[in-house]
Amino acid sequence: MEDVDQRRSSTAPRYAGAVMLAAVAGHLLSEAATGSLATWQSWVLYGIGAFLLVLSASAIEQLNRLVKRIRLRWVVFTAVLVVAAAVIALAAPPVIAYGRVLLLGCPQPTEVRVLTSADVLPAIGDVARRFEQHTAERNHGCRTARLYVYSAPGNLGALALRSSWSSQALREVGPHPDVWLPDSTTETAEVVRRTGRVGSAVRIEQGESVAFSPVVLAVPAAVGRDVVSSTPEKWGELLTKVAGTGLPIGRQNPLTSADARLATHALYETLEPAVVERRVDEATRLSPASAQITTEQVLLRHNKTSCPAEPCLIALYPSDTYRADYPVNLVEWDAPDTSNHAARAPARQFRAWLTTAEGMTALNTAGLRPSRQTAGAEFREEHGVQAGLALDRDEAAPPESAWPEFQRRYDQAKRDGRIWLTLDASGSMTEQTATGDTRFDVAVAGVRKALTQMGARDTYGLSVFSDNEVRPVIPLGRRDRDAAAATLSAVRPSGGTPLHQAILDSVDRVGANDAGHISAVIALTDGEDTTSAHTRQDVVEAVRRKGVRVFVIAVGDASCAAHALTTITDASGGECRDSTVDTLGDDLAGLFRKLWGGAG
Amino acid sequence: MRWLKRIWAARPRLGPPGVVWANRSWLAMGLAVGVVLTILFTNGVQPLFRESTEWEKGKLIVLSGRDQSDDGQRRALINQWNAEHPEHPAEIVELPLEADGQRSEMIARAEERVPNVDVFNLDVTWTAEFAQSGHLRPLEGVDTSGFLRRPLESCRYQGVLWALPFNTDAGLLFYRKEFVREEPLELEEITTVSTKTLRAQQDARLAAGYAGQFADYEGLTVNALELIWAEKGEVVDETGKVVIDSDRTRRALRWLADGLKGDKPVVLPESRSHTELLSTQAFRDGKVVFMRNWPVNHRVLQGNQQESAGRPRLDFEVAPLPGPSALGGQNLAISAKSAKPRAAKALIEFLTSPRSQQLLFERGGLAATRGIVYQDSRVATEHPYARTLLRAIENARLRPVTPYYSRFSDEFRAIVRFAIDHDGELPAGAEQSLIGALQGR
Repeated sequence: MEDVDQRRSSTAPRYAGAVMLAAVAGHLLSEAATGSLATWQSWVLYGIGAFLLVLSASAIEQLNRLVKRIRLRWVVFTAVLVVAAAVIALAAPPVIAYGRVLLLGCPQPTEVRVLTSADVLPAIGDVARRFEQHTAERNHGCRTARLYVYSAPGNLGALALRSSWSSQALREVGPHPDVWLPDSTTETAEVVRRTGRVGSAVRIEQGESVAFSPVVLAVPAAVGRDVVSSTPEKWGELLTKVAGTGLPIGRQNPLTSADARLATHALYETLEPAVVERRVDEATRLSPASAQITTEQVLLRHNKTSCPAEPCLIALYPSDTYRADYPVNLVEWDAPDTSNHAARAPARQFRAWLTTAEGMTALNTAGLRPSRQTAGAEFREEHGVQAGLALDRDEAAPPESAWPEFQRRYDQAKRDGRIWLTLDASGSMTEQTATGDTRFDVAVAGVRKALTQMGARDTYGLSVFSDNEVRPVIPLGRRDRDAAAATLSAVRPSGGTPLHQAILDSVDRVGANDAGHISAVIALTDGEDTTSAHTRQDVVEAVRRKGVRVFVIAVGDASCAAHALTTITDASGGECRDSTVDTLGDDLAGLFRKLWGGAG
Repeated sequence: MRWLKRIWAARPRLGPPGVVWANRSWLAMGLAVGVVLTILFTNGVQPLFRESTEWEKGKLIVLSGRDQSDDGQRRALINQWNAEHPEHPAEIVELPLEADGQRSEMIARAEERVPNVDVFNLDVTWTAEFAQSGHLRPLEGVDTSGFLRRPLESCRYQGVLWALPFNTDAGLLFYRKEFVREEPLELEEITTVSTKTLRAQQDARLAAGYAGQFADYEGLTVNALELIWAEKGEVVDETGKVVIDSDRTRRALRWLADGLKGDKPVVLPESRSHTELLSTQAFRDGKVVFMRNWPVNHRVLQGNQQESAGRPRLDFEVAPLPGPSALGGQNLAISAKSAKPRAAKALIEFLTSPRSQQLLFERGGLAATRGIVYQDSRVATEHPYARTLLRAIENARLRPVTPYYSRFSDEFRAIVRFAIDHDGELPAGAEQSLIGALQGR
């Protein structure tokens, strides 16, 4: 019986076997020719593979025999095929995915770039980590998205979006964002309008606000206990009260920072703008010895992380305060080389997740108040904040139409920027850079660029220092932009670096802040002080006494850290920046923009 | 044994043994067809696809972090290339200073369908991730002789060369000459010299013995790995197995945790919030005897060692770390989607050539990846630490090579932070979390 069967069915498998052997032989030769069968292991593997191939031919033969015994075999065959196809279709993707994870590890998560503000960066960073863990939960422990959260100083992020993320923004702000999570909805409206035009490479899909944080006045705990009252008080009353204790009150630049703008708007409703502007100083950081206008979440985080015991600062909640409200906007790029299509789905997923219970809990834990969940356990008095809020206003921010008027009032009331710039003209400034220009040339070009940031009533003065003299070349009060470049072109750098003398001289010339002016000194140097009679300590004491902010830009051999230039700038409330010849112009312009309060 | 017989019986029948040729002719024909097809393929078809050797014309886009060299030497090199090869000009697209931001933008651009970048300037720890994700084109037919062994190793992943080393780096031990007679060879010696110096109260400014970068960023990963290696401990062994749970590892972490404690501590407590710049400042201010830092700070300190502004003169020297350093630096790789791979390869070879490496080191201060540069007398006078650095680079080790390096680094830092707060003890499940991280979990 078996013999008969065999004779009848003998050609088909023989045919198949021969073709397979042919394939094996051909493949073997080509593999050997290209040299991929170099080791004995590869030969063994190859042998096993070929054996399996031949074996499968016999399996087909066996199956063939089995099938012939079945009645209605076409029906059965079709049914088996359908069932098998269904099983494979359903089971294969997860099985393959899991097998892949076991054998090769997780597939790389999709990169999503999240732009936010410096104030809320740590909180959003925490929330993003939670979301990443969430994506791993139903995916064999593999995260499907990786969120890179970064911030832009002030309103540079919004400006960069409006300019479709220029190469300068790429260098200084960060990568192209896929999600934009600013402090306030008011920040987005204008950007959305500008980028919505035909031909713009960026499209912003405006999103709902996911959480909020009221703008508060952070005061040291001791002062807070004295001024806090049981009845609700408005911004104006609180400011007057706190200013009455002699405590300095800090605020960020209202043109570039949302919390400062919202608080200032509320303050102008009850106090004269000029009064407000005289009472507040510009400051960006919380400090244990001053009050600061900020958001509740910044204060909460400060108390939780950088405060050894008790709450260092407590929040005073004015009844008429506005809120930072964190809308989640999706950003889509149309340029073919930066579109990052892959990030769009996870970006949407992130936005949707923030409105789920899990997402809201993550926001709550990070110190933000989700729109539809009550404040969590983080909000308690030990951290200087209150869980329950009694705020007068329903809206998070004033209507957009109010802002032009606000800006006009602020421009009138704010004190004018008065800057004394002092430039290093020592011998080392003649050193050539890669482009063939000297460092001094680069500095002069940077000054020219920086002066374009000058506001309508701002003024400046200029001196150069070398050997042991500081030479004023432009008197204070000038507004002429071209004067600087023209005068500087005649300067021939040589000799030593009397940096300390130059800073002291500049501080004297620019004078302290007064009712109408905010003063600052900017020193640009490429080396440490070599020829001054004054020590660093002299300078530190002088700037502390005079209360003039000093900013230093260090290029070339100079270094903020190694020269301890930061001790001078920190003592005065300014800052020191390490710069390179490439970024000098941008750094200088950024500083002038900050000091003259320009919003770009 | 019956199943064996059955399998044998079921083997494909290539014809009954009696009729020899007629039925085995299928086999013969099959072989013949196979041979003919192979010959045709290798000689006829393949040459059609063989690549030409001419460089493609057009602009080459290099994606790189900001140029940190002195006076823009990288830019100068690119300018030189452009002058010599006007038909294949190169342009650097500069990315933000922060490494994570660079990586994020590079990954996003690599995912695009259109070719938008030709050359990536990758951090040494990213080679595996970019190679595994298929973002890179393997480098073939390049001469790798003359490169230092370690930097070149960081360009390989799974036996394939993906990049050429652009610049390299290794941590060094900076120390104050007046307090240290001999280069310390072990962590214990750092402890002894530190405590002795602190006790002798020779310098009122001294606050501790040793400063490193222990803020929560990649610097912490590097510093902790180096301390563990100095105690001959391991975190991930050569086969990729996690072996963090050992006495030697614990000893290193305990050294750090204990060092940070006390009135006159061995390790400067502020260094828990220090990055490279702040460590340099603490060292210049005379707060510590020893400092671990990258060689770029040698130039910074040397430029400012004179007495000035109320600070006494600083006399310092550098030595290799007690154990191997973690290798730093950047590698140049060709994007898999580049339409100009041959021109891109030529550019990479130009930027890593001995002459370019010499210029980058001598004028720009970026440590060269070729051994010959370190023999140069001008380099030796410009950078007196060059010999020590070469020794440190040759002895350096790679951070764990894995496509999920950033996950690994995150988890490892969490473990180290826990250990610092708990006398050098490891958190429960430390090993598991690292095993998971190495698989991307």
